[in-house]
Amino acid sequence: MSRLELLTPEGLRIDGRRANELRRITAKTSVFSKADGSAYIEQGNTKCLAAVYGPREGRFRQQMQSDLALLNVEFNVAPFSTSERKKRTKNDKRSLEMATFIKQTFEPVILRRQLPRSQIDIYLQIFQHDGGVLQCCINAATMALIDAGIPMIDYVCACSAGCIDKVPVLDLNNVEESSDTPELTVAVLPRTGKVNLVEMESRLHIEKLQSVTELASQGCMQVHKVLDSVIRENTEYLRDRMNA
Amino acid sequence: MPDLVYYDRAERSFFRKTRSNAIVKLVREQYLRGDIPCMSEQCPATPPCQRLQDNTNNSPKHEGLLSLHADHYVIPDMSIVMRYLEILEQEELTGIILSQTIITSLQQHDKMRTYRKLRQIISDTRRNSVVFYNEVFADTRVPRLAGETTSERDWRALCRMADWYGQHLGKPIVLLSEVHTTPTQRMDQQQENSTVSVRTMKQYIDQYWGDHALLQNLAQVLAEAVLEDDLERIRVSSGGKKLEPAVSGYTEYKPMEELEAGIKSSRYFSGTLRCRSGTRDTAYVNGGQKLEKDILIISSENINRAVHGDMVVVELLSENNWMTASSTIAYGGTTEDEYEETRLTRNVNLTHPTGRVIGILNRNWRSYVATIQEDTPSNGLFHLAIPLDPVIPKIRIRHHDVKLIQNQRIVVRIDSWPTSSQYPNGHYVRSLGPIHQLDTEVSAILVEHGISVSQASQGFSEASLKEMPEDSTSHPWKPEPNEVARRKDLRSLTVFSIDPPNCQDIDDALSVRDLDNGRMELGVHIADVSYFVKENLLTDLEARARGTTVYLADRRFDMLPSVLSERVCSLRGDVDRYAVSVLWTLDSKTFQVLDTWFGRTLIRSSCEMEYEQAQQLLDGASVATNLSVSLSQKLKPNVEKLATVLRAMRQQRLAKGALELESSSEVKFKIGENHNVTDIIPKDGLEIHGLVAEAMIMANSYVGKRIYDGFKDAAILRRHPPPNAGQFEMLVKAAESKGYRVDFSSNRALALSLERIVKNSADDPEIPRLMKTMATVAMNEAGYISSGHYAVDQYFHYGLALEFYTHFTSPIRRYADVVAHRQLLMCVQDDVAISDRQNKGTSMTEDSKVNDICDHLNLKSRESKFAQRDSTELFQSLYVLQHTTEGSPLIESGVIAEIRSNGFYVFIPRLGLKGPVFLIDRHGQPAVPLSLQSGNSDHDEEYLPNCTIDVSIPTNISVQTATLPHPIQFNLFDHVRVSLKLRKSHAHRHMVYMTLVDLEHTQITSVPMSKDTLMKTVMESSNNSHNNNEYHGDNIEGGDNSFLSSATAMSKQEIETRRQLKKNKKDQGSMYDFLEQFRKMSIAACSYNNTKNTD
Repeated sequence: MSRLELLTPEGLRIDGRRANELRRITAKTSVFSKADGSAYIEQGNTKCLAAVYGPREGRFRQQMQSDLALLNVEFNVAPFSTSERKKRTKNDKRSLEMATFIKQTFEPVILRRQLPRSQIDIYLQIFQHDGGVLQCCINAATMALIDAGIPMIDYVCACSAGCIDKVPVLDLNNVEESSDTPELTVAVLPRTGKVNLVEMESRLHIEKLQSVTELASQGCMQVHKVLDSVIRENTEYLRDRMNA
Repeated sequence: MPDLVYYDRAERSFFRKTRSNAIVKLVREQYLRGDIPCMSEQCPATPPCQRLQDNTNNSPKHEGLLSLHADHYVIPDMSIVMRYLEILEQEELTGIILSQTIITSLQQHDKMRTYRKLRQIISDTRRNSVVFYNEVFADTRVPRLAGETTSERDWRALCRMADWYGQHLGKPIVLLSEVHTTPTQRMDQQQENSTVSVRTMKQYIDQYWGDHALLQNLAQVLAEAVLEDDLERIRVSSGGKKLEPAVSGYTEYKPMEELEAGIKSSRYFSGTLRCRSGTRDTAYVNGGQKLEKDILIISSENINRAVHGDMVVVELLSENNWMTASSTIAYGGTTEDEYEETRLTRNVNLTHPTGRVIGILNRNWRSYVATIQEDTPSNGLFHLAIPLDPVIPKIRIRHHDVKLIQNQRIVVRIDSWPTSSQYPNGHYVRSLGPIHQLDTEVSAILVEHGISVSQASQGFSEASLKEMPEDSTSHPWKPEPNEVARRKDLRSLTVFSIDPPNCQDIDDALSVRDLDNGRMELGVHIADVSYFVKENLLTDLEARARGTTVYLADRRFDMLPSVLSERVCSLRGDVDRYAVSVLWTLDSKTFQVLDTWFGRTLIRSSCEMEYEQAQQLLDGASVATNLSVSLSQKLKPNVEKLATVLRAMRQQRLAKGALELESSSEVKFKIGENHNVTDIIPKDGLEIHGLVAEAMIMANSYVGKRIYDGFKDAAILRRHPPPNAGQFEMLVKAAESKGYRVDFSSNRALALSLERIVKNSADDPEIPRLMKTMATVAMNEAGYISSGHYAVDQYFHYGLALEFYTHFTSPIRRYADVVAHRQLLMCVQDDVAISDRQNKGTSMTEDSKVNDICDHLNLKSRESKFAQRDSTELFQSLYVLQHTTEGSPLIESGVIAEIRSNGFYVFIPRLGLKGPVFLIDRHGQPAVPLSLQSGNSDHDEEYLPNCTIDVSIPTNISVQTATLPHPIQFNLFDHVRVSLKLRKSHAHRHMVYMTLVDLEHTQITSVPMSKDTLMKTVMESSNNSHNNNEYHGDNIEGGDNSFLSSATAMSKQEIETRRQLKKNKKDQGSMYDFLEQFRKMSIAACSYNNTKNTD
């Protein structure tokens, strides 16, 4: 592949965004009737479906805790999600790690003490992969949890940011990700601004860390605006239905 | 946080073949925006649409907007960009709108070089050209229709964009294209706004530039030129069949995918092709880490149409084809890049892998100066041009009337090189003038080294001169009162400058004074260029493009307008001048730096001293020549105090391991009437030169540290990377031949070794001088860096032994210093610098920008150095020409500086000239002049018959003949007398070469010996005097035998040591002459005596 210019001197990225712009987010809740809560989100061309079952009686007796709800996250990438078909098993290390990240992100947010001896299952499925999978999953899971009516202290909004030619850029897509751009994913609680997750697997100069993190958390706030409006719309719709 | 400003989202999907030959569909998002600015000063929207962007994006804004005054704007299409790039590059053309369509198309087709060139046009704000992102702009986006080819769609996109511009600005828009003649039917069928017109390049030039001969000519030759792309197309259209048979073993290049796969799998190697001077059929490519050797590419079939400087892909040949690099002096070449030269010849005895070029990643063709081959028939359309640079192949150019350009230096460019052609195809650009005229040759030097036309003509645009302060005799420039108030006023301080005689651009001045309680203050005051040349002013951009003032032997090409460089900035005597000062508070006893102050000041230099005068004061004269008594008295104590401080500083730095290196061939030319070079004088170093330099080094290093503290990731520093062991092999061997050991493990060790050589060879000052030159050449080049691009441990300046170094002290003639000034002043919170930064923004603190500037400046300073060297050579040859025509040969004494397999280089200290002496002629026959035997200089054109030549690189070459009793030895650093000759050439500059006249035998014996070996030698020689006589005329073997017979009581063990010794001798080759052999023998005997005693 030829060396693409990821960020032009005029400040435009390959897909026409500027450095501090998110991709388009469209989201929808209650897409399944069988699940307790579900959500579908598209962040650009990354598409993710989340289904939440629970709280329900624990299936794994041994892990069950008497005072807390158990959180179980399964993450799966569809073989057709990338341009080259590639099958990943369920126990793929990468998928398991991703699931652990998400689990750890949500454990402190869900009021688990209110639901002792129960279990909450979150199933995440990526349909189309165009960068920013982790953030997309977290956003989808938040929506699905809210849809399921599980008590949480706040939304969890996630967003990634990277650094191209020393310029911090928001919300990397697949092209940008795959050309060795350092990528940092941040998940925050928008009301308090507390950070729930910071994840980065590449090298980034320490001097740039602050500006990149700041940009990512600003992105989270923007994500929150979108998610919140979707949830509100949906709730209003439900309310109208109830009143009708 | 900005709101979402894109209007819509689209998708772009395309198919691509992967490496495993699977075809996959890729989908890319495309956000369509509404905020793409038109980037024109004429924008009718309020506020202008580029404002919109400035608010959302706080990056420094693009300066070169489309001009309000232009009568039209130009939109080139792909066919124009590919074929007429050279015309677009001409500075006259402004108002070019480059579409995103073209940019993406270039990137997709791997035309990165074209893209970079276009980017250069855009980034040059004087060109008033912009990029317009039509593909992401909602109003100009054109989706591809079903069944439409990409080029059709691209053309529609360009038409749409032109329409939009026409409507938006109401200005005539010219769409340039070679393939399309009419815009496609528009969406709205109205034709009343005919602002858009389609032209071919020729029509366009005829219409708008009818009276511009150069453009006319270029358009014509470019239209005829056969480009690489055309070849590609011809090949594809003919279905793989070759139209014409390939000549001389050239083969087609392999497809790009295969090359890239091969490079990744280390099957092929890629690198920049370098040719050795004069030998176009031997090239080499750096083998990289895996081979750790250069790959040689021998014969033009294997070089396969690559030209010096191209990025090539090389396939290795089988191992039985590997060979050693030749180390011959090229016949008829000029001394090329010394660094490259030594890199290759350094490890001559190694076997190098050989290879063959199988593909080109990137052509690196530039403009070449060439001359039409002599005695070409004047009819015919195609002619061969011989480039001035001997590493470039001859170029086939097309010209309708060759008589016009015969016997002239012309500028040509290469267009393509098909396999069917022996030589590359090129085209004629312009003529520089008749050959061998001084002005022509100087402009040839400038073109060859990429020095821009504007600098060569010394011109500055009117607009840029308007920015300059006024300084005329009627209105002399005076400091402004509020600036005076703001600056630290040092006018009462005694400040003086020390420069060469008649120096116009004085950038530095010095001061020193005592403070109370045992402290003193040392000051370095530098012209405040950055106050006058604000960032992004036209003058600034021009100076940045020029990079440095170029000094040639007889002329100078300034970086800044003369009103600054010679008047307002120059720190002249007895006038108030702005300066940026570094003031150190020192302890007056230990000379430790206690405090450093940086900032803007106002000074008044009391005297423009010359080096000579300062040295006289330093040497104790009470009054210096041409200096008034009172001034001398005033300055003398200052100069002396300064000298004490700086000597101490120098010692401190030398103790840390700084090297004292010098370039041996710095000479000055005395030029008389009509460009007559009357004399050549080597530049001699006075102590005061070193002291002034020391002050500058000190200022530079403190500023370097300060700006690094201020801008950790974007400070402009100068680093000198430490050398690696292989680079010193030549020097070590050379030193060994003279009995010295060179330790290069650290800069301190090297400095000590060199110092020892200086001390021990006081009788022959040329040896240390040449050694130092060798050391300099062996080392890496120093260069500017932006600190963000390198790790902290790589900032080190090896040669000066300083952790931080930058260039700060010559802002009038180097742009790097201007950058350092700006950074420093921002660091120290200077009011003016801060307010400038707030008002206009600055890119001097952005790593990527600073790095770009650094790369550019490194290139410029290297080119300017080479230009300077070339001009020195030009004048040396002129000198030889003018001094040999009188009938008497020009005979000079010199030193053998380098041994090669067919001769050696002789360095003539008086002229600063290094030239080849051939002992083997170009047919491989030995050609040793008879004069060596007869001692008669007239015989230097006749040769000794039947001689054999034995070379051991890099220290010795010996000539053996039947008529001589013993071989003639030429050792490194031997003194010889040579006759200077000029090889006249039509296509190249005249080249100085030498023929040997005589060996100066007296110098050979100056072999250094330690005191006790000397004593032993003397003792032994008195003992064995009868043997010694035998040794003299004999060879080693004979000497050994007779010695054996004389020392009868020798034990077996001692015979063994003797053998060992003999073996060592053989290992080292025949690098000792007879006397030395004899000396070894006597030492051996001595040690034998000693061992016997201890027994």
